[in-house]
Amino acid sequence: MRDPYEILGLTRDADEAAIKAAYRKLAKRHHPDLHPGDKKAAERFQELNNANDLLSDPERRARFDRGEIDAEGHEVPPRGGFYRDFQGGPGGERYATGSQGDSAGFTEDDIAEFFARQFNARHHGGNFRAAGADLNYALTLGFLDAANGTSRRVLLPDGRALDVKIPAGIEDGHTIRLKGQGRPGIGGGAPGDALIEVTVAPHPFLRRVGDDVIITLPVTLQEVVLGASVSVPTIKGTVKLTIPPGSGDGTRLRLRGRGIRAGHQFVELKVAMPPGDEPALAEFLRGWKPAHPFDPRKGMEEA
Amino acid sequence: MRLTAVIAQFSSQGLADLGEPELTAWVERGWIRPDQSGEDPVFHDIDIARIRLIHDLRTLMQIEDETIPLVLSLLDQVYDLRAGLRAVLRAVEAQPEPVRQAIMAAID
Repeated sequence: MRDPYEILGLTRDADEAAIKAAYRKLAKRHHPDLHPGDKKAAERFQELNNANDLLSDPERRARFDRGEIDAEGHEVPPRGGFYRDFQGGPGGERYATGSQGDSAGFTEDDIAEFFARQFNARHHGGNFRAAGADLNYALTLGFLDAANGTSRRVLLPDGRALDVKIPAGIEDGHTIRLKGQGRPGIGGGAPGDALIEVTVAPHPFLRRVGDDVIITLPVTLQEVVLGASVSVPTIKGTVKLTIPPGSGDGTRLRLRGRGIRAGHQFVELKVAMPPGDEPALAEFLRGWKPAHPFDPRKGMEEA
Repeated sequence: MRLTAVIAQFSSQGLADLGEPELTAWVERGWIRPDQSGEDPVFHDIDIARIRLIHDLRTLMQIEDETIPLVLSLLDQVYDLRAGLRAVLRAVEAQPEPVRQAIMAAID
């Protein structure tokens, strides 16, 4: 079995969320029932399940990381009985969309085989050329690496290592194509490409909308009423933000040019009430007459 | 296999989240079409594999229930097309060599 981190495109320090995100994304991509013509899909799907099984169990992952166990011999039992294995067999007509659902036994991918056979026969004894196949890889990046751009070394199964430059602002699900880095061509055909599908792991505080970055920032009652200068994490480190006096819950402030590429960062204030009893505050509120009385639930009665 | 036996089998495979109400709903929506020729609906291997697929779509791939019919419909069409293409190819293979060559040349 290959290295489980490599299979899921993860670095060794990936957290649980990154493992889950990478596994889900790749399972979606390689589920054999979604690739009826691809014989290797079942193998890849099995590999993903093995890798996920090992890495999603913290104890086994720790033992693997310490080198106490290897990836071998801990595989989940192979799963047979995929839908594609039965489709076209008995009962298949119940799921046929047209009138003809009957098709007797067939080999694993007879369609692809047929074309291969026909084309090989036609080019027999001669100059058969074919482009090399593309190779697919997965790479999971942290939110900040994806936002700022980085470079990563990707290990290929044939032992080569590729340094891949990740442009700033790459989005989740984006595929990087490395021309000519796939399988070699046949009979002088061009080599295939290496396709690297990127998964971006979520950040605990920052989220992305287009090239803007948004953070929900908890602030105290004093900070929002009286104004304050507070520290805010951004994709390029912490910056100071001035909260103007008289701000409120949900006030949105802009940090110009602090987003991804030419984007901005937006800070949404969220007032956090004091955790314990505040007798002085309660006493003050009892005697407090607002200068601008209002009903925050105005218009909700009809609903 | 009857519905209860199907549930028991999945439960023994660690898919305890697949319950009777769920499976009944899938049958009602037509996602699963068991053999209704007898008194009780009977689930064959293909139905069980399809149940497993729908389970994967919903839990592993997190596809919303309202999107499932779209996915299933497209999948069914792909499998249909493959069956149709297979039939054509078998017919081509049964032809004499010159006819085969002519057909392949026309496709190329």
